[in-house]
Amino acid sequence: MTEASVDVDDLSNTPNKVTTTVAMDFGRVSLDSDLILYLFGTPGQHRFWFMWDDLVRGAIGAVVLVDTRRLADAFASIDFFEDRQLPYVVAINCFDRVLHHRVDDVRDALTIDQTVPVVTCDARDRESTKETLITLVEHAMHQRMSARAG
Amino acid sequence: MPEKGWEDLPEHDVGDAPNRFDVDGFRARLFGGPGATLYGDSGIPAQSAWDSKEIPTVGPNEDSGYNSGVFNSGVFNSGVFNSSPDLLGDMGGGRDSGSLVRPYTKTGGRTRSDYDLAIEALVSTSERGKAPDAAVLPEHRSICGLCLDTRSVAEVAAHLRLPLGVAKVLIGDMAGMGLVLIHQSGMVVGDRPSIEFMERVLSGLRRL
Repeated sequence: MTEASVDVDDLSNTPNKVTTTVAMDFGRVSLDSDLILYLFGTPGQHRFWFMWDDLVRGAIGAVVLVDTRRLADAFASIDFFEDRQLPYVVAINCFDRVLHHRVDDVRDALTIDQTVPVVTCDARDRESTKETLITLVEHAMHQRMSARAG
Repeated sequence: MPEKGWEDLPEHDVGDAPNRFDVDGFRARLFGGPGATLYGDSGIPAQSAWDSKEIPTVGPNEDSGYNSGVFNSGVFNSGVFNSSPDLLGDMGGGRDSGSLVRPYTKTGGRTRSDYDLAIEALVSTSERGKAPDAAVLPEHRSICGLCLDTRSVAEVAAHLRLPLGVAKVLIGDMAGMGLVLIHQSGMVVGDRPSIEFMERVLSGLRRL
């Protein structure tokens, strides 16, 4: 979560966001009349970590949004989610669909398990963000079912 | 210094805070911050008898103090939603946004609520809370106003620009006073969402 506001404002009905994540932000997406998806974004800086335990409680999963210029910043976040056994996917932030590194190289650099999806994502783009979230939920379900089977 | 005529504040005369001696400005900023209007009347609550001599101790240049408080005081308050981008990674951001009062002042220093409130617990204003003058404290009034539409604890904190911990304490107090109703989700702490639940989320996402 180097720039961990998975920028949800395109999805939620929260206009006027011209800002960045300093402490925490969230989005709310109504998926159904009785089903609301909350998206919480926290910055990766260590000083905000006290919040993470609250956020992972009951969560479906996490998107670790990495900036390839600051890959190392993602290590601790990945460790955190692995430690909490929270399903996560890695989304390589690529603004305007420009990717500076090969996805597999990023996977290697982060030493992520082959089962963890690594996707590219323009966090400002609604469709792209949606695809990333779908990947995450699918991954979480898959992980749960394999755990059940195993 | 003498020409300013504030002999009672000699050792605090730093002269770098334009509003320091402007009492109106101070009052506005005391409960201020960008969301100040949410607090309604910016009057100082009766229980906090602010001594004017204390004004400099909560001066805006005290950013180091924001980091040293009881866990996380000031973190959220440093502009949760609308901080300008140049504040990213700079805790000094506290000086430009937020109220001059440290967050937990609003809870009387308490950091825990009597209720174990989840951040996603929904809060709605009760019939009693809807009555005019039911809530006395400005924060309570703001929360009563906000929660006419049911909202999560996280949203209340974000809208009021309060640290989550502070919002939890305030909402817990209000629940105790019967001003708000709390609807906790059925989920037990530590529960992982069920497959059926995730399927619903997934199909909901795909329909977006």
